[in-house]
Amino acid sequence: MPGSPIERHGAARGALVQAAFVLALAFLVYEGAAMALAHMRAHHIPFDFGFWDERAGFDIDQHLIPYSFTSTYGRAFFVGLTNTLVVAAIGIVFASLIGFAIGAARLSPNLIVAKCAGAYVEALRNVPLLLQILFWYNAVLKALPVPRASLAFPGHVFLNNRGLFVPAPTLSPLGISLPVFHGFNFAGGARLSPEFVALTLSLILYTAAFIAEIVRAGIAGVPKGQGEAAAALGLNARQTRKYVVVPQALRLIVPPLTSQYLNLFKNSSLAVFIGYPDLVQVFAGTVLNQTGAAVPVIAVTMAVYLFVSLIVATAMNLYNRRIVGVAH
Amino acid sequence: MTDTSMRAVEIEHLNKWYGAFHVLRDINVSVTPGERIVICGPSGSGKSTLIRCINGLEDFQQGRLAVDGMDLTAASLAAVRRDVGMVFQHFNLFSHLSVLQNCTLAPVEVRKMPRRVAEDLARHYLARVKMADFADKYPAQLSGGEQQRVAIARALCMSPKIMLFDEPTSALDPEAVKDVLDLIMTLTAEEKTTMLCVTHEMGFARQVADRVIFMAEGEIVEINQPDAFFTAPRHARTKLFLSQILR
Amino acid sequence: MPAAYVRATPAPVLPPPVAAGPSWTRLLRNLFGAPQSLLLTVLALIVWLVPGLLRYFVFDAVWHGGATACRAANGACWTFIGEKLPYFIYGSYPPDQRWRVNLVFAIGAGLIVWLLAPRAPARRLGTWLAFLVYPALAFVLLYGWPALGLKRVSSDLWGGMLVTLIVATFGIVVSLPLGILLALGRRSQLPAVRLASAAFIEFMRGVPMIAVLFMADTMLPLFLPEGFEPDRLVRPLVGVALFASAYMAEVVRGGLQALPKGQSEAGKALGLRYWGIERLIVLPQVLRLTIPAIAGTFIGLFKDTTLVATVGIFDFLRTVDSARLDPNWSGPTITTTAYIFAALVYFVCCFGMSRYALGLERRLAARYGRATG
Repeated sequence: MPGSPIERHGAARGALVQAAFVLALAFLVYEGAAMALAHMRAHHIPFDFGFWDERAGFDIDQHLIPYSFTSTYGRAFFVGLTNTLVVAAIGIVFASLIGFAIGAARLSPNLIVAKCAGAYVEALRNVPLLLQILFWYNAVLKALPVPRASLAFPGHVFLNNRGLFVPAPTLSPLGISLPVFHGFNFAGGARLSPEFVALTLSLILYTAAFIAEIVRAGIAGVPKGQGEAAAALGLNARQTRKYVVVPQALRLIVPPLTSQYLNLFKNSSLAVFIGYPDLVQVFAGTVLNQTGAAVPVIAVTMAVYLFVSLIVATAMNLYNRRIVGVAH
Repeated sequence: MTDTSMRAVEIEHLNKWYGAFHVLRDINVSVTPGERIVICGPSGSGKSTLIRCINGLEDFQQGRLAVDGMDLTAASLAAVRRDVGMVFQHFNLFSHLSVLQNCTLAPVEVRKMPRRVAEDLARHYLARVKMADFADKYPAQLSGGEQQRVAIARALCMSPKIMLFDEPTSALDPEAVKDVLDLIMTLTAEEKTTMLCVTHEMGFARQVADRVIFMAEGEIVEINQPDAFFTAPRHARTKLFLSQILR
Repeated sequence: MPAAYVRATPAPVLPPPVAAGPSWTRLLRNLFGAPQSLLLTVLALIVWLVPGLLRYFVFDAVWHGGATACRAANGACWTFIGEKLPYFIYGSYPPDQRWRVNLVFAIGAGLIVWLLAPRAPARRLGTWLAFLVYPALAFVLLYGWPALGLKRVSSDLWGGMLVTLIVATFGIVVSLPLGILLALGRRSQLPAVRLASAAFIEFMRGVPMIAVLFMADTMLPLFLPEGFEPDRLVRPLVGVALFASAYMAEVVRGGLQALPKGQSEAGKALGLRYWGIERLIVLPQVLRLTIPAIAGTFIGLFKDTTLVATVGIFDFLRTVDSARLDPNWSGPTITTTAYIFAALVYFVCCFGMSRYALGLERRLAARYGRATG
């Protein structure tokens, strides 16, 4: 307990302010909740999860787990969730690859390469993500040729206005199924809808620009003296990069990098605008519209994102304390 | 005629510019192996720049610089750096590596020493700088003086023929200064390394140096043995400098 | 070399040798010293890209002629942009009342120039005008006040850049002070305040903005008394502002942590109390320290205004996106032209903001010194 009379007086005043604050907050919350409940009862808006096991009655274009219009709303939730996770996983992997490459390119002694990389970063960071998604979806993917005249890529990959067709593994019989053109369309393989391709592609390119900047700042943030000491010891440029610069740059890169990963995850919710069935589009969109259960639906949606954010934040704190804490 | 293979460091008519600024003007120095040189002078005189030229951390536009008989070129740079060690004003220890790893990195990667041999070597030098117990600690956990001692051990692990010291004690607390200077004195004497040390510590210069070089405004003004240098400076600029720092 | 040496005459100070000429040789060495294949790829990209771009956007583009001219166009259809421009700027605001919007724009621009120009006079007066008088004035002009002869114009008709600027400006103006309060609250000694601030910040930063907008749109009416239907534009305004203040709070908190404790201790020693210390000593320095991050948050907010389309508001991007579907304009290049135009507009705004922030940071650093104390 603080000792001096001054500090005790301050503590007493603080306790008073705090009590007033808590009371005010509690009052607002109580009043708001009461008002909301009254509203919802008056308009027959459901505020429990009774709808979870009801029949959904709508179809979803892309689904990783089995789903049909006879499935429940609960199942629709999981379809949306898995779709979000797929986009996020693929997005994170490729955004990192491209981002690191461009970030390194920005530090290249070759002026042209550095300037081009810089132009990429500035161009993509200053244009809204939604605009980029709409561009890829409406201006590019919708303008692709019909399946009969698909663009073919090595490895049995085909691109047309119905989507991206790729080989897919099958469980029974165990093997790989290849997409083959048959009649008017492709049979076999897996179909990635144009919505999926547009969303994932724009997320990758957009996030890569931010990752590139983080990588550049991380490498540039390693003190010059480290490189000089390594050179003075006789290490060549490659060894200096590998043993001295990169490890220290990674310490500077990892925290903001995980922020960007989280951003990508959250930005996948822009799927709403092009109709890709991610968590928000399916659950907070279609399910909410059909059941009218605004509070539970939005609460669950938010809870999913909050849960992921909290896990990542905790992991980041652990990383900072364990690795950076030792060396700093 | 001088035999260049007898010289540890040979600098002839070296001139360096930073853009339009003439930073080093007509530097001529010859250092014999095993000689211990102290370079002093007011700030901005180019002392640090000069010794950083010796191991190629700074380049120069005109003149000739030879280390151990080899002219300094892009091709010979790697060989030069193997045989020249450097201790920096701000230590520059690798913050992500332990003390031991700091010392073993270069012997393992540059001299291709087996890891065990390198670790024994590192522990040997760490003991000589009285930091043996700190082998598994990280630089952030060490004080300035401790870090600088590790930096000295790290440089010595490469068994350099020439050691460069760039104001090694300027960033240290007064208590740590004496320890580090004593260390430098003993080690360079024991290993018989050629030493070039930029410093403001005049007592150290008097004790250790075979010759003192005084630089001002990018040129060498006076070179002499320490006793003669401090008691009977001959150039007016030297006299001015000494009157300002010695009371 | 004699053991002792004294310089007789000072060495001449010479100009640098011309052969070591700086930029040219280094430039050439950089261009041709790089790995050949990488350089060639980049050059090929440029050679292939630039003429194609020029052809599409300049030489083959359609500059006049209207819808018929664009039906068979090979290049960008700029005439489409020209004809739709009023829609992009005002939305569906009645054409005869658009002078009111122009007046709001003009006054706003004037105030911005006044407040942000490097050496502006009477800035305190300008701040009062900008933050108190201007919003009220703008509201009256845009919404209408029949008593003054200004016809009522429902916010459902507002659209385009008008709406984007309203949302962005409101968000920026509200998020900075609110963010500061939240940041101070998060560092407060009072546990309840600290907890409430942290909970709010972590919540807003953990969910996507679309979810917040949905929440504001569907849930805000529930929490207000019956019949009190908030304007459709007000709901996303509130959502955007709250969302942005959480991010601003983290930026300010980072600056508060970076400022040496000695600054506030000096304030205490001088006899200042909490709010005096924060207002006069801590916050001015913290705000200067965090200018790049604040600018980044503002730019992000400006880009995020596009998301209000999800609750049916016609911001600039939405007007462009809906205009391209006009059946009267059905050329093959309409969509691309529309999107590239929108991208250019956003790029100029955002890039301009980041350049301004850079310049501001440099100017303040020159006057007040580098960041850390």
